[in-house]
Parts: sequence; structure tokens; C-alpha cells
Amino acid sequence: MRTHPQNNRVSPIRGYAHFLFRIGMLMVSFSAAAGQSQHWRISLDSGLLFAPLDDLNRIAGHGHRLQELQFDRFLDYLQSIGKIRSWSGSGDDRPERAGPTWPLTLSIQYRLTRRFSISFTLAHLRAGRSRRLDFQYERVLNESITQRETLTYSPFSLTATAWVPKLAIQWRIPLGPGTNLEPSLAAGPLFAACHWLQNWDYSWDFVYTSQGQVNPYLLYSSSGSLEMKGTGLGLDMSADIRLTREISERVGFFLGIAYGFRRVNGISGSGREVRDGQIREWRGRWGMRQTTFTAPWGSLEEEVPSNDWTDSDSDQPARDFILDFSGFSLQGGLFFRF
Amino acid sequence: MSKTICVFLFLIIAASGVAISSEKSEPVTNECGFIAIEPIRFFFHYQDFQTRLELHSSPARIWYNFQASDRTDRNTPIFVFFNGGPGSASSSGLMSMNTGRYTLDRTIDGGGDAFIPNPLPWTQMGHLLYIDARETGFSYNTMVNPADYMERWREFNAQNFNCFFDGADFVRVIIRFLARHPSLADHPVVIVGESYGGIRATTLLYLIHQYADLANGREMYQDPELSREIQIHFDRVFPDYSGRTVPPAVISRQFGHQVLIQACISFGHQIEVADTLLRQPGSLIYRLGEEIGIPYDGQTDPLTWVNNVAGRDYYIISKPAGWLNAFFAKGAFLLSFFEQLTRMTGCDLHALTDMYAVNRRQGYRLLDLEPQAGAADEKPRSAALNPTARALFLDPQLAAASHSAAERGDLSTIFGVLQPWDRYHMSLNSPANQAFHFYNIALLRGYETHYRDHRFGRMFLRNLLHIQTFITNAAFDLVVYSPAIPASLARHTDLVSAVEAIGPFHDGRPSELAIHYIPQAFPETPAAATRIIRFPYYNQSAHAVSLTQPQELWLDVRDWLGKTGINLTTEGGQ
Repeated sequence: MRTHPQNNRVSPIRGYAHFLFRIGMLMVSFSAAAGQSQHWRISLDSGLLFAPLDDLNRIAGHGHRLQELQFDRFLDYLQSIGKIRSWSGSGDDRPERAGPTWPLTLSIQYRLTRRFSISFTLAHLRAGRSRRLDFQYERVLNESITQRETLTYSPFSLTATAWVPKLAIQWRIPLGPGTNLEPSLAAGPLFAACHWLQNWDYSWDFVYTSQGQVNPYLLYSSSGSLEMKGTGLGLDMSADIRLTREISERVGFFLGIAYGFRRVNGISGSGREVRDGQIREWRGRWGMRQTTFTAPWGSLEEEVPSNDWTDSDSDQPARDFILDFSGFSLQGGLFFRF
Repeated sequence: MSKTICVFLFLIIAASGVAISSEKSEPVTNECGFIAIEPIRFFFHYQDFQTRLELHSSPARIWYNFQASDRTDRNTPIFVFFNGGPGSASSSGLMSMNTGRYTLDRTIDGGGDAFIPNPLPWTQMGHLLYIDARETGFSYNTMVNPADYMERWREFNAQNFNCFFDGADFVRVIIRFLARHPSLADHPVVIVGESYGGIRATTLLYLIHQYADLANGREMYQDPELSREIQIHFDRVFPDYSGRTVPPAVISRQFGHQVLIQACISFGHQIEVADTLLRQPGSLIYRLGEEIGIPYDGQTDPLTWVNNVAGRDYYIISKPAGWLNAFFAKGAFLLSFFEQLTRMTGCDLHALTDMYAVNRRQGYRLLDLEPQAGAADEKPRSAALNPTARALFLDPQLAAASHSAAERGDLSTIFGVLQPWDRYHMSLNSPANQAFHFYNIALLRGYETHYRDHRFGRMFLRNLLHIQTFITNAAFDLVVYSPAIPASLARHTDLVSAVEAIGPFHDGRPSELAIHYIPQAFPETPAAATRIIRFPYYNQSAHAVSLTQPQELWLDVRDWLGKTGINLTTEGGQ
């Protein structure tokens, strides 16, 4: 069998798994050598992480501001110059930001000494928001003619996820019988993914009212979807402090607070756009696109994430996209000794 | 999608290749035909992909007539003629009015009963290419189910009718025509547009000169296929730039001249300035009031007053109301007769396959049909959906007088009887005109696509940096009131510091305009300082200057071309 030279390269994930396996074997050896029980502790916890996810959330903010400019401000403008008599709008408020995050963490800890332990932790972070948004705008031209625009996002969805396998060291500071304070430091790679999906339907009806009869005529409709995916590898460095309380000889619970520095850049992935049945697909690195909306009734200049770039010099990211899970978190969980 | 595009481009190139092999050694001759434009996907955006308005046009067959020049040298220019409206035919406009080999008789009000030889045809200066815009003149669109009223109603909208796509149609026709005629492919092209044709000239030249930005997101109008097609053309004409973006200064070697006859340019400003000027005491309209003994009240809309009170033609204030339109109507009438059309075009029309009814069953021209042909519920729907119909229903006499649906002439005896919603020739297609104004989804979504938008004035000023420009200055036209043009351009204060009128002056009117740009008005062209526009005065002229003073216009154009790089005084010229 011929092997392609590139296949001999060890991937970062495999290398890291191999490293963890070696650590685990070392801990088992320690345990056997000590000949004692209850050196191991397994814990499961969750909590609340206030991760900013700023760049990703610019999508939601930009969408809201753009819609306000394209509809509310535009219709105000049309009214101000006498093109329409009045207008009204109804619908959901806005696309929402992704976050906060509820991390879920599984840890296995080995006590090396009375005060000192090491652990392996696998954490999963997920921040997402998926909603259906409905908007309707009506422009009144005169007694008989109304124009109705309907815009639906089904859904507007932003998601960021991460898997974080990491190693940690803990100290144990006894506070009283069965109660300890455990500060720890941890680090590990962060395997992150982000996803933006919006399915939209837009229609424009001409509504003619005559002799009490309301006749809607569909003038234009359009539908489609836009989806961008990305994955990337970053670094998680965190510090936390936990207050543990033993309920029995083997079982206990804890509460804690932590701060983690978790940033990923260099994210890349696929994109797919469907507009009225026409499909366009691409792959690219996520970056921040400088967008400028300039119309007679207003302007908007913002950076918005994208992974859809051409070769043109003018179509390049203003800066790299950063998926930032950093932040403080509150934690709580159970542990079991064996 | 990309496969389809590739196949299509291949077919264009292949077709052009066939033309090269079959036509290279043949002299160019008169020609008449249709150039097919396939469905085009394009979009408008405001620099943000979420604001895209994606549009998908219908197939079109664009009619053209090519009249070969008397000259044979390599530098013989190709004059590309079109009228305006939008929605007006070039065939019954400029083609019928003293530019081609045959013309209406201008010595008879209304134009006489037959086309007569033109004593001073523009063929003495160059080749002539007349193009009827989409759905005007002989050009027609096709669609899947033209019998359905609502489907037809949706056709008359932004996907087929907006100033940018209209300009793109003309670019496609011009470069596809040149691709079919390799011996003409690199000839200089002189754009000649009348009235709204000024906006069309501005737009098509802007699209050609800024073609790379039609595919990279920089321009509001994005038409990547057009950008590629222009690049293919330039790869042939400017081989030094093959595969690279050709700069405007180089493009202007081929597309570097425009003749604008009573043109809309920065029309939003033009109509405001004209209204102010005409309401000033002592203006042309006050003098007319003194002449006819009915003083102008200074309040009534000037054009309304001229037409309704003074009974004069606002296209030529010295003539009775309706005078100019009678010429257009006569041109359209004569073109509906096979013999007259043959004489006018100089072509064997029997070979015009796309003209035959059997080959255009999916063609359509009309929104409202004749009452006997329409469905029972068509009238109330028309009242709702067709602004003109709504106005006409209020005035049955006007409706009867203006309905252009009736087929005339004898073309159906040659080409067959058309479907009720189709016509062989339409001098003015009202739904096509209205589609630029009413219920146009691009306008409704806020895109600057209406020809009154100041964007077109800015585009004209950018074009002017590289394009030699000739604008007529007619004495009696109030619809495009020439004295308003300098002030309307001066209103673009973000680009222009001053517009200077240059003599010699006739009746107080200048013969040239100097446009002084502010520094860095267009950063990509830092050397821009001043550009001169030829602005000759026509002291007896209507909106259609080629009708009222054809000899003076001919001589002025030849003189101006000679001074701006196209010398016509040698070989074959007069």
C-alpha cells in the first residue's frame, strides 16, 4: 500500500490524545505505587460563562441596524419628501446576540499529595441563539394604494461552540472538616466552531382598495439563505477557585468562580448562499469586512464578519476575525471519589 | 451556475470566432437584425451583501439597423444612435430624422408620406448603428406565459427596466455587434443619444469605463457577466492589456466620444434649474406670452402653460402643440410598411427570422390589451395596476386617442399575425416607460436608479474626464432646457468648483462649457482640472435637433470630431 507522505504527519489532536494517554498511565502507576484508595476524583459541573463573542455578535447588531436604516429610516425619508403619506411597521424586535454560555465540564482528578492534585478536564462551551423573526411594513400612498413588505427570517441563527481538553493543577486549602478551598490553574487547546445561518423570505405586495374590496397583488418575492461555517484552534488558559464540601466520604459538591482567556483566530470554513434557487458555495478564512452603506437617507459603516472573499485587492479583510470565549464564569457541580 | 456561465461565454466566443472566419475579408454592408440577450442575473447593493436586491431579467431580442459608411478607412467611426423616453424607439426617432440614408421629409409638417433620400447622411462620416431599446421600436422581450396579465404586469419592473440595466443592454448589443464584425471591432465608437438617451449614454459609457467595478462589489450595480464580456472585448481590442483591467484613459481610445442631443444629464438638477429660469421675468416663456397676447402668470407650471394656454409645443416653442410628436408618429407609421422599412434600413428583411410571428410566440409588448382581446377582469385590474390606464379610464377620449395597441401597416402580411399582446413596432411603449417610475422594486427599495437621481450627474462628470463631449444647445426646447445645463452641473459642488460659459455667444448662449473640477474630485484621476464641452447653439431647433437643423448639426459634429481626434476630412469624407 502506498502511503502519501502527508499522511505520516501526526495531527495536533492525535498528538494531544497521545500525550493525555501517557499522563493517565502515569497517574495509574502513581496510584498503584501508593497502594491507597480515593486518590481519584471525578467531577461534573456546569455554570454560566459571560463570554463576549464580540466579533460574532456583530452580525446580529449589524443586521438590526441595517434593517432599521433600510426600513424605518428609509420610510421616514420617503414620508419626509412626500413620496408616501404614512407608514407603519410591526414585527419582532431584532436579531439577538449569541450568549451567555453554559459550559459543561467533566474532570478526572488525581491527588498526588495531601495538598496537590492534577486533573484532566474536558469542557464543552456553547453559545447560540436561533429565532424566527417576522417583520411587516406598510406604506400608504393614498386612499386606495398601499404597499406591503414582508420579511421573515426563519431562522436567524448564530452559534459558537468549543471543546476544550485541558490539564490543571490544584491546591487544597482545608477550611474545616470536609470543607476546602481549591484554587487551580489550567491550560489546553480550544477546538472552536462558529456558524451563522439566516433563511429569509421577502415579498412585496401592491394592495389596491376599491369600493371596499382589498386586492393584494404580489409584485416581487425573493427567498434564500446564507450560511457560513468556521472552525479553528485556539488556546484556553484559565484560573479558578472552588469551595468544596464533602457530603459523605465519597461524594461532595462545589461552587466556584473562574476566569478564562479563550481566544481563537485563524478560523476558516465553508459558506453557502442560496438566492432564489441559485446556489453559490465557497470556502474561506473568517475576517472582518468593512461595510459601508451609504444612501440618501443615511449611512452605516461597520465591520461585519465574513468568510466570502474574492481575489480583488479591495476585497480583503480589514482585520482577522476573533472568536472570543474569554470571561468570568460561575460554576457549580458534584464530585465523586474513588 | 458557473458551468452555465462558462458554456455561455464559450458560445459567445465561438460565435465570434465563426464571425471572424466568415466575415473578416468581407466588406461591411447594411444589416438589420436582432441581437439576443439571454436572461441576466444582476443585483443592486449599497456596499453590503445583506442589502442586495437580486434581479433576473427576461430574454430580449434587441433590434438594430447598421448602415455602412461611404468611408472605408480603418478609423471610420461607428455612430451608435438611440433615443430616450425611456421607452421611445430609436427607429422612429433618430433613424427617421435626417441621420441615415433615408429620412422623413422635414419640409412637410408631420414628415410626408414616404421616407426620402437624406441629402446629408451621417454615413458620409461613419457607420451608423441604430438600436431600439428593450421593448421599444422593433425590440421585444419573451416570457414563459405572456397570455397571463399578472405575469405580464410583473415583467414591467426593475428586472427589465432600470437605467443601469438599460445601459447594460446597450453595452451588450454594441460589443456583441462588434464581436460579429471583426473588421469593425476596434473602430472608434461615437455614442449619439437624444433626450433620456443622455442618461443612457452616461450609463453605458460609465459601465464600459468602470467595468471591473461591476464584478467586485464597488459599484451599486453589479453585473459580473457584463464585466466579463467587456473584458473579452478589450482583450481583442487592447491586447497589451489582455486579461487585465483596462484603464479608462485607454478605453477612451475606442469609447471616447459622445454626442448628446438635448440630453438629460444631471436631470434632477436640470428640471429644477429650468423651472427657476423659465419663471424669471423676461424668460422665453414670458416673451411667448407677449407674442401671443396672453401674459404668463408666473405661477402655472411652465410646460403646462405652454401646451394648454399658449397652444405651443414644449419641444419646440415656436411651433403649435404636438408638432414634434407628429414626426415621431409618422416615422412609426411608415416603418410599419414593409416597403418603407426596407428602404429605410437598406436590408433584405425577409431574412429577419426573429421578426416572424411563428418565431416569437412568447414575445410580448403590451400590458393592457384591446378591450375585445382582454379577459373580462382585465379592466378593473388595469385600473389598479397600470398608472396610465388608471388616468385614461378617467378620460375615455384620451384613452381612445392614445391607445397604441392597434397594429398598423402591412408587416403582418409578410411576417404573420402576432399574438394580441405583441406588436411589430411601438414608437413609445408606455408600460416600459412607466416601469422606470412606478412600482419599480429597485426604486421602492431605495436604490438610486431613477434618472432624476443626482448619481447620474456624478457619473457624467466622471465620464467627462475621459470622454470628449458634445451637447446641443437648442433655442426652442423647453423639455430639456439647454440654459439649465451649466447651472445643473455646477450644483455638483463636491466635484465641480465652477462651470464657465465660453463664447462666442449667440442670443446670449455660449458655444462651449468649461467644467472646472475641484482638486481630488476623482482621486484616481488626479490630473483632472478642466474639461471642455462643445455646446453649439441651434437657433431654430426643437428637442430633435437633427430634424430641425440637420445640416448645422452634421457640420458641427464633423468639425468637433476633427478637433477631438477623429479626422473625417480625408479619405472618403466630404
